[in-house]
Amino acid sequence: AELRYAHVGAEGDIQTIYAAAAAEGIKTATNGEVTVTVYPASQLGGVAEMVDGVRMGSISMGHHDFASLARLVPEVAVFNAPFIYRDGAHALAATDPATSPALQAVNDKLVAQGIRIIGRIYRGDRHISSNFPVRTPADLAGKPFRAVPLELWVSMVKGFGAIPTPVEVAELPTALMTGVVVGQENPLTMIASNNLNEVQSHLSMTGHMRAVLAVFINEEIWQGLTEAQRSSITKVLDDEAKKSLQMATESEVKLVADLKGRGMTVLTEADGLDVAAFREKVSAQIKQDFPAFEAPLAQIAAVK
Amino acid sequence: MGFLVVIAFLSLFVLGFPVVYAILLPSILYVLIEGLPLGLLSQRITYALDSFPLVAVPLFIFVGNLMNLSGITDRIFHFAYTLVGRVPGGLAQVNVFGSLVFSGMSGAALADIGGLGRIEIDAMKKRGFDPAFAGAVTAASATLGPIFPPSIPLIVYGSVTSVSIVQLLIAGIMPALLCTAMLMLTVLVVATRHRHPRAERWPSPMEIVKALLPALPAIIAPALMVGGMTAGTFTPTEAAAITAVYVIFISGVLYRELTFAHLWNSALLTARSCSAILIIVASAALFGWILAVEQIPQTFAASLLALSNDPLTLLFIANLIFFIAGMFLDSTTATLLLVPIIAPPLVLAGVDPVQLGIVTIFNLMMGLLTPPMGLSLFLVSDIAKVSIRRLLRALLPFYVPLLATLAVLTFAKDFTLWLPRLIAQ
Amino acid sequence: MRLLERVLTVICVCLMAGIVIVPTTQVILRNVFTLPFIGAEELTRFLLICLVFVSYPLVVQNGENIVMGEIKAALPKRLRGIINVSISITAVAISLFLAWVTVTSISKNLLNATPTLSIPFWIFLGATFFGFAGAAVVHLVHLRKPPQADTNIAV
Ligand code: NA
Ligand code: NA
Repeated sequence: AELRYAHVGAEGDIQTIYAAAAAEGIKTATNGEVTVTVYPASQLGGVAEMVDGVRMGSISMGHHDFASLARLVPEVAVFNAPFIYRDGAHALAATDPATSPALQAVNDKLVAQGIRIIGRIYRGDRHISSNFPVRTPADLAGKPFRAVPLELWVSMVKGFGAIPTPVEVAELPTALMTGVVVGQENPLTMIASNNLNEVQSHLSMTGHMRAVLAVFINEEIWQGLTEAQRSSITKVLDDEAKKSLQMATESEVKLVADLKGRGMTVLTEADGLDVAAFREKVSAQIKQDFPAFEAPLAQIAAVK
Repeated sequence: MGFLVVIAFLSLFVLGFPVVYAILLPSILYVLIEGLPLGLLSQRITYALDSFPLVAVPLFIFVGNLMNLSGITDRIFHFAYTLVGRVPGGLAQVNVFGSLVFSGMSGAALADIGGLGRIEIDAMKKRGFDPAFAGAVTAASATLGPIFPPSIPLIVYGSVTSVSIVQLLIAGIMPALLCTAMLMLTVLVVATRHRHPRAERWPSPMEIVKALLPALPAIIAPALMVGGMTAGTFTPTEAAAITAVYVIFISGVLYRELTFAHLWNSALLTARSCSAILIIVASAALFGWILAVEQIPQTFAASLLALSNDPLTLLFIANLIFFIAGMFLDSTTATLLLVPIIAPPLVLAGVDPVQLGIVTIFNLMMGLLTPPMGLSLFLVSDIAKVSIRRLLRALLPFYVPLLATLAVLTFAKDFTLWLPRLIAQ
Repeated sequence: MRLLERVLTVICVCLMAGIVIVPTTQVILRNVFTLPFIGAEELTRFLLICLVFVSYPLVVQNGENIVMGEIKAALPKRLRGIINVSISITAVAISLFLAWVTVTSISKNLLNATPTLSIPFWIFLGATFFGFAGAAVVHLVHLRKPPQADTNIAV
């Protein structure tokens, strides 16, 4: 079988490295029976188009934030929820399609819509960048802060104390430069590769979200593979997921040093950053806005 | 199979099929033969327009139509003509210079043509210029918009390659100024040789003031918009909408010339122009998807890049690749498909990534002027009501300054990099 | 036909008005009331989709499709006639086919909606369907004498 694997990650991003390695690994593991061609950098369309393409089968597989599948099954967004994982290993365990009950419950509903989650990528923790020091939610009070235009992000930015303000990705650097918004949040790999250090002076290491991305495939194409091929693919993706966690952990240290070198002031708990205050405020806001998350959150917390 | 699609499109285009159908017919056949899900067709065509920066296109076309129908254009160009009518090709010079000013607001070539272009072409036609020449100047000067900040194509380039977007935007300033100067020089030469219409004498200071006052509220619009953007009040795309509201305001309240019929007709004309051009963008996205899946641009680029290791030769090859790609793909698709293939080996060979970015975008903007997929050319021909062939012939002299600019950008890297280095210090 | 064109015109003008009003309102909401509307960008994008497709039959009606007709115009009369007929047939066939494909897509995407505002997806695919179905009808009406077949200018 020949699979088309599309994603929106840019050159050098952990997700791009993951996809390339997974394609290579799948070819080897299946003795060339399954070949995967990767189309990075939105070559086959943006996020919404990619998800629809996978459902329809014009694209065989892809990956993105779990929340990008929330259009099909709203509860999927729970895996993106802020401050829910104890650490990276917990995040990987809780999103393991083979063992996590929370994920399996969601997957059953997704399969009915023609799409199945078969793996995950650890892309690193999301942190806040801004053009003034941010230590507590009070520092952001009443200020416009960029929110990904999805309910979950809007709720989280409210929890930060800021005013959730949508900005299109294509206009984000300009908007940060001119002050349409005073800050944004993303994994360090994105902040560094987009050179946001040039338009942002401070980095607050909140690590509010662990960016785990879902790797998903068209259900019909998945069922068209043999049992052996499927288990080889799952194995490759699981190994690559572990590598991505390792890569993210190692690169975080490097990226912090790199961004410091580029002139950013990095704030950690040692510098007075009150992560606990962020956790408390954000979790309260999410609990209030998403009552349906209660059950899956309990399942996620129960994962060892 | 992919190559057949390209050849079929070329043949149908040349035979005089409407561009939309020349693109769609081979693309649909490809999808049928390859057994891809048919839903891909409607999905791709619809999603292609799901782009916020594209919104600037109808907005600026609307501004252009409003200004024409409400008489603001006449005031601006009466002033411009009074000021420079004596200069050979005076209004054509205004056309070029206007694009430089406007490029501070618009991040896209099509927005420049739709907005300012319509105004300039009509004004030039009124003063006796050949519509084809007016169109050619407009199309050539629209290349400035995406080079000068703000620029959507440069931001796309920056996010694909991890090159600093701020550096890219600053690096575009000198090339844009150089290109403006070269285009104005060309206008001077062409206008002198062809004895284009010019005023009989120079204006008196009183005449200038008298012409300036009524045009002032419209002339300061770009300054207001750039001011609003730098202050963070709005983003470039939002600025397009604010411009439309501002023009409605000044023509309705200050000039009291705007009627409901003007507003209605402007909106309707805009809808049609915008649809005629963006339906091509939509079908081109399907065509681009097929080329991407077949990996044609990438294979083509990789085989050419293997020819050399010398940075200058590589840069020259990259020029060639982007120029050809620009003939078949819109600039965003070309950037997404080709830049990840071309940038790494060139940067490895020692080409400066910022310089490469400017060279790439300038090339792709020139591709917009070159058939078969010349979107700038199409839009101008739609506005000026001249045939594509006549337009192309009038455009020919303007390839000289454009290619000369490109040569400077390619071979004199310090010219591009001087300003960003200065600011980095 | 006249009435239909009139109705279509009204819709196009309203869509155009929306594309101006939504971003403007967003600027005011953000700067004056510091209360940005989260779905404004999405709404504007989707108004653009509707504008382009809903206006397309009017483009065809007015013979405004973009063409490079010069080479054809230089051909002998008979050959030109053959090409004109093929263009008309192709135009009708493609428009009808895409309209049909879009309807099929709509039935498979009934539950699909936009990520932020949850605007049902069938509205946009509906616009695409309308654009091509409308174009097919106009192309059919023009079959005997298309307004742009004989012009050798671009529009
Ligand atoms: Na610009
Ligand atoms: Na111009």
